[in-house]
Parts: sequence; structure tokens; C-alpha cells
Amino acid sequence: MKKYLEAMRCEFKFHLNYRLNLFFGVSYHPIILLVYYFLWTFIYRAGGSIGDYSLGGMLTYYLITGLLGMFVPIFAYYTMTENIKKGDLIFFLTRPLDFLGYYYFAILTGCLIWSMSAIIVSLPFILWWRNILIFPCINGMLKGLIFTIIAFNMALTLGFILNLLTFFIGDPFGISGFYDFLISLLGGWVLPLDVLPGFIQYLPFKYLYYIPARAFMNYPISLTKELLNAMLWLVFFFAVIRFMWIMGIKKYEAFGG
Amino acid sequence: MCYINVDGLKKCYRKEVRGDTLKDTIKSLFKREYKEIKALNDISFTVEKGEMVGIIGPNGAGKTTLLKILSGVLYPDEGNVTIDGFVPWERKETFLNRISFFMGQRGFLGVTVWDIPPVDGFRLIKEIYGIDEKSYRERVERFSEILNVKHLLKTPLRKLSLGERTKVELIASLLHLPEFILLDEPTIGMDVISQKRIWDFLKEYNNETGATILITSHYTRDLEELGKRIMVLHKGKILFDGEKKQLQEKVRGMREFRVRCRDRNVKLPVEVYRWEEDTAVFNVPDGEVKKIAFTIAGIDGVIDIHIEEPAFEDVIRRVFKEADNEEVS
Repeated sequence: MKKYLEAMRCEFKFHLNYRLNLFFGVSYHPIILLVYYFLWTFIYRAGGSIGDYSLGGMLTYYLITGLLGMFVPIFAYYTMTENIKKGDLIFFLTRPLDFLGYYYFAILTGCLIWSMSAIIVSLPFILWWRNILIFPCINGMLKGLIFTIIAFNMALTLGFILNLLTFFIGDPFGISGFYDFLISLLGGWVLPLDVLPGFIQYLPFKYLYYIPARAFMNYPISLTKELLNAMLWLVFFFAVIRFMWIMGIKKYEAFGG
Repeated sequence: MCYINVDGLKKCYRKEVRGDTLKDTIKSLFKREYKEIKALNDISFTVEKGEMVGIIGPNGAGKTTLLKILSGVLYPDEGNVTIDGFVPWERKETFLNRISFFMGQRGFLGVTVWDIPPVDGFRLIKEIYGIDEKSYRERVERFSEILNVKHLLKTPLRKLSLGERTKVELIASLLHLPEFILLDEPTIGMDVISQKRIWDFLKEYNNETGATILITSHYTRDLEELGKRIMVLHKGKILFDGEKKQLQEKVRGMREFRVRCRDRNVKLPVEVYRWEEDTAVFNVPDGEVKKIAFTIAGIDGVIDIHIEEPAFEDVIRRVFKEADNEEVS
């Protein structure tokens, strides 16, 4: 475990090395919140609600999913693909260091840094909207945190699956753009899933944004059922990753060296 | 039982074959052609513990493929390999703790700590292998002193020159004191002083630890410095496996002529192996040295004649040439 904590330390230093990168990486976040504010205040100008979302509920939803967007790595982490393509995977295979384990902790570090930074830049909006936002109660916070952890693992496993496709198709770059858009939509980042067709709720992507956001807001969700479902999906994805890794390594030709 | 046992190793790659016209590129969208390349073709050898073996061969000979199989990165198509009782591609933790695979131009630090100083990468290596703090500090101190990179350890890796990066990568590869080391072109792109430092370092490491070292290189100088035992690989086969002096026996009774000419247009009555600027280099049997020397001395345009033992790389070149001729016939 110490080696992975050390990997986190190196990743932490890397992220703080490029200050402008960090600044611009979160600077678009307030702009998106501002756009959502104008959009939804316009839509709600006649009052009322959309499903169980009032204006305050909708803005709370987007604030939370925006912050989750910084912690939940739905955008494919391309470095792993490059490692496999360029033959750099050799340096992991010849050491007692798990490639996927290394990237789990490296990506976790990046996500923690980005989400902390995003919380800081979101504070002005939280203060500005304090009278209409739905602040989570303790129960909501706990549920939200549990589902956030599940969301992180779900996104990471999906990302790993995408990266491991490199073993079989050479480069998943063409798929990655489609993948990023699709799970943003199906995960509830673009819109709350309540406004989309019901069958989407049977897919695992709702655990990326939609369920954690509703959990934080203490909106109705069937806690036991959703937890069980999420765990089953995670077990399934881990099995897929294991299978892809075993098959992929057997076919790996380590070109680039 | 030998430390390394390789028996009947075979490995093929499937490579796409494509023409270079636009029409070929579009055609490849619908139908692709492949050909099989035999990277290793029934290789067998053994290595004793503590041996240093140099492996030489032209591009595509199978050197790197061999090292990748010995390190467990690749699975062979056929054949068996054991290293100290371990099967490399099972990648057991005990085996991985004892080996190191060093590639000249790229390394673990380049992948993991490119933007930050090497010392952070060393700490990561320390935790990966569970090296205690005291031993870690001693080794970093000693290795960086020997390779003259102590002043660079806190500079971001991306800001180091190729030679400097190679040295810190070498330190990273040896911090855990591996007993089995694979070096793939360790001195590629380095200046002669840096090359010498690396040779001396590796020799010292081998003497002190008794590590078993396999080195591949294009540079015959690497092998002259490091390997008593040489393996010549060509098109996936071992053409020669033995001591350097046995290889030199192949050109026993030959002398190397180095004839400096006014320019390359000077006509010499022999087959020239290569030109080094305006110096023609070729080998002549002992019995004909006097005759050839007198003939060449009388040619207009010849400035200087130097006769010596054939260079090691000419020996290797001869081995490849013989193998190619055998294949053609």
C-alpha cells in the first residue's frame, strides 16, 4: 500500500507543478454555473417545478453535479492508453507494481485536487444562491458521500475498460469522444435523468452523477436497492477488467521498445 | 542447474502489410493484409549465475524480443524459459523483486515522474521494493556519485539531457540491487565519456553483487567493454554463442587495412568493406598482405596505409555476411 501512497505523492507534486494548468482547469467551472443560472432562471420565470425540481433544486443539482464532475473521472484518462501503445507498460510489468492499482491512486489524487479547487471557485455561487439552494442535511451528506465513492469507482472502472481496449483495437481514441458524451448524458451531468426516458435508469451510468446528486439533496431514492445495484455493477465491471487484462497481456507485443 | 535456461524459444509477430499510396490506405479500410515475422526462431542457451553476456545483432534480429520474454513482458509462442527456477511470464512477485529491465532511451521515471525531479521517482522505487531508508540513502548517494548526477537529482526529469536521464534511469533500475539485469541498448545516444561511466559502473556492480547481466547493443564497443561472452543474433537465430576470442578466431589470419586516399574515387584492387570519410577499410588474408600493400602503395591518390588486427565490428559484420550468404545459397 505504501507504494501507491507514494504514487499519490508524486501525482500531487505533478499537479501542483503547473499552476496555470490548475487555474484554467477549474476557471471554466464558474462560467458553466453562471450559464446554468441564467438558463434555469429563464426557464423557471413563470415559477413552478419540473418534476420534483424547483429552481433551487435544479441549481443545487447542477452545483453538485458540477463538483462531482471534478471528482468523478468520466473523461477517459488517456495516459494509460499511451503507456500500452508506446510500450511503456513494460516498466510496470517488470516491477512488483500493479498498473491498474498505480493509476487508481494517481487518478484519485488528481480528482481530489481538482474537486477541492472546484469547491473553492464555487463558494461565491454558494453564497450568492444561499437563499434558494437546498443544503444537505447530515443524512443527505452521508448518503451523498457513499454514492460519490461509488461514482468514482464506477467511472474509473469504465475508464479502465476503455483504456484496456487498446490491447485489442490499437487505439480507443475514436470511441473515447463518443464514450465521454454518452456517459455525460446517461450519467445525468447534462440533464437530470428524470427528464429522459425511463429505461436509462436501468443502466449503471446513473450512479455517476444523478444518484449521488439526489442523495446529497436528500431527494427520494431507494437506498438499499440502489446500493445493491451499484455494487453488483461494480463487481461486474471489475470482472470485465480482470478478463480484459488477462487476455490483453497475453496478446501484448510491447512495441515501442 | 544453470541460472537461466532457454529451450526452443519461438516468437512470431503478425504485422500489417500496407502499400504507401493513398489507394492502398483506402483499401486497408476494408481489407487488411498481414504477414508473419519470426522474431525468434528456435533459440536455446544457458547462462550461469554472475555471467555478463553481450547480445549483438542488426535491427530486427530479435534481441529486444528475447529480453522481453526473459523479463516476462511477452509470452513465447513455443519453448521454455526458467530463470533461477522462475518462469518469467508468470510474473511472481519474488521474481519481479529480483530483476531489472533497463531500456536505453526510456524508463520508469520517464513514465511516472517526467515533470518532477528524479529523487521523487527514487522514493517511489524505494516503496515499490520496500527498501529501508538507510540502504536507500546509501545507494542513491553512491550511485549518483559514481555516475556524476548528484547535482541533478532535484531537477525535473524533463529538463535533463538524454545522457543525464539515462543515468538517473539506470540508478532507478538498480536501487533495489537486482540479481538479474537486462539492459537493452544502455548507451544509445550517449557521448563517449558517459558511455565509459556506465560501462565502469556496470562492471563494478557485477563484481560486487555477482548479478547476472544480459546486454544488447548495436555498439560493438559496449560488448567489447562489458561482455566476455558474446551472442550474435540474426533473423531470430543464434549465429554465434561463445567467448569474444573465439569469435575473433573467425578472422584469424586476416589483417585489416586502413587506406587513406585523396578521395573516394581512388580505385583500389580489393573489395572495400566501408569508407570512413576518405579512408577505405577492408580485410586481407595474412599471406597476401605484402602483395596488396605494395600494389596499393603504387596507386596514385593513396596517401597512407595502416595495417592492424581486424576491428571487432568487422568480425561481427563478417559473421552476418556469412549467414546471409548461406541463406541465399
